[in-house]
Amino acid sequence: MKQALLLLATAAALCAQTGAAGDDWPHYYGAYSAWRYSALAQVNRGNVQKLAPAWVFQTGDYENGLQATPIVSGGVLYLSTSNAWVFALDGATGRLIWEYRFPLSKSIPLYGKQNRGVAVGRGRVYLGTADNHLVALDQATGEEVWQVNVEDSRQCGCNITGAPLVVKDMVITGVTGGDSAHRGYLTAFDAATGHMRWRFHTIPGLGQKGHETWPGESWRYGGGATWMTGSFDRDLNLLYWGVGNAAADLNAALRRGDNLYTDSVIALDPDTGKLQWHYQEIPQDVWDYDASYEMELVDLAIAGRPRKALVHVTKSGFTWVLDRKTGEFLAAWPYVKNYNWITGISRDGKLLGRNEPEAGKTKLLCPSTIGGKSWNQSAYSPRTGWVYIPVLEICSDLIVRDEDPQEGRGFTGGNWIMKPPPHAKQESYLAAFDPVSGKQQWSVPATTWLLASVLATAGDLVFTGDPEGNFFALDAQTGKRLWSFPTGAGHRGSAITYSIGGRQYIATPSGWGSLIGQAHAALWPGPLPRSGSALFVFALPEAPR
Amino acid sequence: MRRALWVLLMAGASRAQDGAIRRGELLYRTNCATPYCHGPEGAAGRAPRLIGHRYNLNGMYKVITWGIPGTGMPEFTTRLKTEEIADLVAYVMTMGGGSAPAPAPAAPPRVPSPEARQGRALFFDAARTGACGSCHELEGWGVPVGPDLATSRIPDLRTIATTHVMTARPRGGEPPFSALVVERIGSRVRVYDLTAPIPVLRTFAASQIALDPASTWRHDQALRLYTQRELDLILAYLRSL
Repeated sequence: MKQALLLLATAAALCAQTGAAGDDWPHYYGAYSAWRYSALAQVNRGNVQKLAPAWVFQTGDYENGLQATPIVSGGVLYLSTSNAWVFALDGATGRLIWEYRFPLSKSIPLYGKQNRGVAVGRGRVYLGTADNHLVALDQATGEEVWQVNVEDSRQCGCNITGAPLVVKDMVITGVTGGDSAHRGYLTAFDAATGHMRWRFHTIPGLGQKGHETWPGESWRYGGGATWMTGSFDRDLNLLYWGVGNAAADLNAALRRGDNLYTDSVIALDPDTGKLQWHYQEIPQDVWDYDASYEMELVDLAIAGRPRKALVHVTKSGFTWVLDRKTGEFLAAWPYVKNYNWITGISRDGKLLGRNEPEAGKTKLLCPSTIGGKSWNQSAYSPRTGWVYIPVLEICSDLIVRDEDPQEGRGFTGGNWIMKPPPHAKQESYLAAFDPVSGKQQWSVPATTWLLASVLATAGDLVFTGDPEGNFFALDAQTGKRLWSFPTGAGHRGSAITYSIGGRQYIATPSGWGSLIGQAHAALWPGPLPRSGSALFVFALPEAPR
Repeated sequence: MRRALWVLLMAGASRAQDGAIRRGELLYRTNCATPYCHGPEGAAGRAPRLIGHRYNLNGMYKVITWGIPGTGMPEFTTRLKTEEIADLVAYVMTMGGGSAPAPAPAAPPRVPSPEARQGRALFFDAARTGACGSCHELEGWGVPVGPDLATSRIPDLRTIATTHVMTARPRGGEPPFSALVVERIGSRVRVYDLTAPIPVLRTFAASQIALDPASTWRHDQALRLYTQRELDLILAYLRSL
């Protein structure tokens, strides 16, 4: 009896943990569920004060800081940089196993050199590049196996800044291009040969359903970028990807209509690339509010019913909660205090009181075009049941201008200048929220702003870093600051944790950069965050032998 | 004495100028450096490249103060103080370097026929995955997998001989595929695999692949995305180059 109970308890714990990463950190968001949560608990609230550096790795590529999420597979850590360099390091010691440098072309689209990480699977390491190539390397040696030029970046004005995702025997990558005259897509390649398996255009073409939401030729240049990484539900066999804003960003004069599937969550059959369902959060977006960010796949009780939910913390300052089996709208709640682009969202998901930018006027709209948070990710802990969001309370003056599309060139339809909210100070904080009701549980202010991802662990800790260079741990229950370490350069990457030989490591990139990072001086007084490009890895001191 | 005084004065002026440039650099980063405008180094973004051009000081003042109507260049007179504009001008003038030669007078623009224009749009049609541009580079667009068409004489698109396409037979069970050999470096062979609509540049150990000089691949297969009328337009474009 007692044994049966124990088994039951273990099964329940396992169920609750299916979205957790374990000894490795195999995917961009930790696991396919995109929780950025690890079941490792060796480092916990009771001992985190003893956390100390185990090793540091300097990449030597100081362009645009270090924005990547390292991937750990079989105890080897894979790290990529802005200039498309990849390093394989021994996760326990930092010893370099191999390195690879992709020869980037000189012409880089306006999204610049950014790299958020590699994907690993099927014996390969996959790298997207700032000139729009996808490269597969031998996982053991770092030698190039295949590469494709996904689309000539000089023509499309698009590139790859996000991490690819390995699903089954394929590697899937999106592209930027949402602020250019470009039509977005997601492409799947055969992991072994590089052969294209399928391409899903985020804007339906001639004769396809949804094409009628784009007047005239606007579908050819309507944005809908796929610049972040998706999630995958193995049981439902559904691949989820967030689709970016419509272009021109701020001006819908040439695209009156819903503009499908921009600002939507799309669910695809990963075997065929066929659309299974979609949910458009913002029809006819005129605020540059990509629906591109992480989608956390969480099983929740909503209105007394168990639901396979998808929690989507988006740029618009709202979190949408959808049924990930059907795409049904379940809830939406604001995670920012300052929003004025709508007055709210109805119980059936309609946007209320749209407040659009207007031609010939400067309008202060909130949140800013950077978003209620930037692309750096939130985390979900099944132990608290809360989602941890690095919130930005910033607005922007939006100025609309008329613009004709020129293929592959910038196509913003206006300009934006970051500003504090009306009648409030600009601020940023890390806060814990209930994922269904949106009730804030605690909030911890930052000195300036938070542009690094959050990591949650079963040790009931929440980690992130700040622009001043501090990497710190908070109590997941209370937000109390328990530990901090100055890494010497600003944080714009994504921390992870893994375990080798029974020892838990916590790794964080350090080094300020990115498009958004460059706006720091315009928003915050004081010194600029320091650039750099190092991976700091921490662990508890080893017991004396 | 007079000379020494002059040197001292100039040194002071130079220090003041250094201060203006430093302040200007900060203003530049705040106001101009987003990659959607002039970029952090003045080299990237959608706005004109700033480095490597010789600028006229008065013209630069005018442009930064009043903007350029009808373009993305905003006026800064409402955003910055007069002395800040002076600092910004000082910094932007340093980006020019002053050493770049004046651009050569532009050749009169070639006006392509409507057919050639339509042909060009079809050649690079982004709505067709595997369009001509995914294998051929022309006028600075496209991927140079196949031959340079600007220097080729093309009688007809369907019957082009592709004797350079080979058959690659990887060892280890993968089916053979049509390939273009790119290079052989030491014990490695790099080939373009032409199986899928997007060519794949693959690297093999020479011992892991056999290459047959013949192939069943025909250029005709790559043209399936187009109608005959569209191919005629593409040919009109190629002949207009």
